[in-house]
Amino acid sequence: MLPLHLLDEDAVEALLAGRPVTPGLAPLAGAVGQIRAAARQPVRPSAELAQRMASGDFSGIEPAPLIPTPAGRRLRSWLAGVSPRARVVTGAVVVFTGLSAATAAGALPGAAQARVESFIETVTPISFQRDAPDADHDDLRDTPPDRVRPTAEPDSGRPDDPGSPVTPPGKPETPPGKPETPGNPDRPETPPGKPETPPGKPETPPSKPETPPGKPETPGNPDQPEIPPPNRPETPPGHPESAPGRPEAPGQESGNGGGNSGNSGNSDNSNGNSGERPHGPDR
Amino acid sequence: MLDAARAGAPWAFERLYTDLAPVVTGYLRLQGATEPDDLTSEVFLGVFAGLSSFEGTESQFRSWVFTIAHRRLIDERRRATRRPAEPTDDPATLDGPGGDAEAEALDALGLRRVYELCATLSVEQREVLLLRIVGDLTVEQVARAVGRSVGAVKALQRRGLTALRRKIE
Repeated sequence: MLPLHLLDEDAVEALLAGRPVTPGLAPLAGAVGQIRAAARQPVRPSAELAQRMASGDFSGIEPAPLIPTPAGRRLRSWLAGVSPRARVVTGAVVVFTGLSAATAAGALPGAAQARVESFIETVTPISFQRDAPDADHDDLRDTPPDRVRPTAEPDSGRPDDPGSPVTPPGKPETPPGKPETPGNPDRPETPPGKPETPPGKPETPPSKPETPPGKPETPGNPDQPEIPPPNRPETPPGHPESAPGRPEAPGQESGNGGGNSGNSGNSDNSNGNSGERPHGPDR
Repeated sequence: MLDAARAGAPWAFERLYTDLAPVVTGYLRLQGATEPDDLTSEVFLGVFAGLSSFEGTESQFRSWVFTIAHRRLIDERRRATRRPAEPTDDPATLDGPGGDAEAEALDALGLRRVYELCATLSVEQREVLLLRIVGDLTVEQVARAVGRSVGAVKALQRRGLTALRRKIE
């Protein structure tokens, strides 16, 4: 048996082209020659083809498609024919598209990912979703209050610098809110704001301008602003109940509003919830 | 000659057909086409009808003709999925050239041998080797015709020749 390693590229090309080969490959060359010779038999054209060849008229026959040139060659020939400015624009579009795709896939390294994301967000209407806030938000929404509690605690614990002094005063406040919370479930469900409106309505109009800034309240009520919800400090004075009652509504609003106020609002909710549950059994 | 055919000269069509039709038919036959002669006529009808839009050398024209033949063959295989596409090695079913009975018998023997050889190849190896041997196409032209990379074509032809070699020995 012949060693198979003799079939290198030169030998293959010689065999296929019918050129002389080494004696060891002669049988194979003979077989290739047989194949070539077997395909040399004359063939008669069909009647239609013979007639059309004689007349030279091939109208009405679907022409065979031309061989499409490879995409790379097409691109090269197109680029060769366009102006330098069009080439630059094409290159920029290709690079930008590639970067956008890579960014959307999160395939860039951390720092580059953040930079390119911010660049794309400024240049285009595209906005990239950041996972962290959404995940927090979803957790708070989906998880039962029991679960919210632990997440809220670390939240209040994280901003220990400003928050730790706030929480102690907040805790005493929550007890006053809790007795009202049992009543709240009825109230807020039917008309969340209405029971509070009698006292709250006069406050709400002024409070609305306050809510957007949020901070002006904190100077106004040094104790209450410490209460996590800066938006409705008025309620504690007017109706401390409203603080737990409203959090539900603001909780929804805060969800729309964004993660910043949402965190504080949620922490309030969690306080309220946590206040209700432990107090419920206490009662 | 291509220019003359584009101009509609009948002699140019005859010449092109005489040069290429035997190898195209041989390729289709060894590939297992059920009606290689008819398929060859279909190929040339389409090629001559589209000749006015073709630009290139005679080598490129040859490559184009084999590419069309290969595609027609694939279309035929798709249409006739019930029938096997493998080439037959039964000489009785082969289209033998008319005329001398002795020559016919010798040709049949030679064809039988060729069919046996081709039967040892995979479909991919066979199409690559036949386009190279019968069609006399380059590796690049074969790659374009069968829609594979040049490297894949080289690998297929090497494996095909190795399989033929094992069969011979």
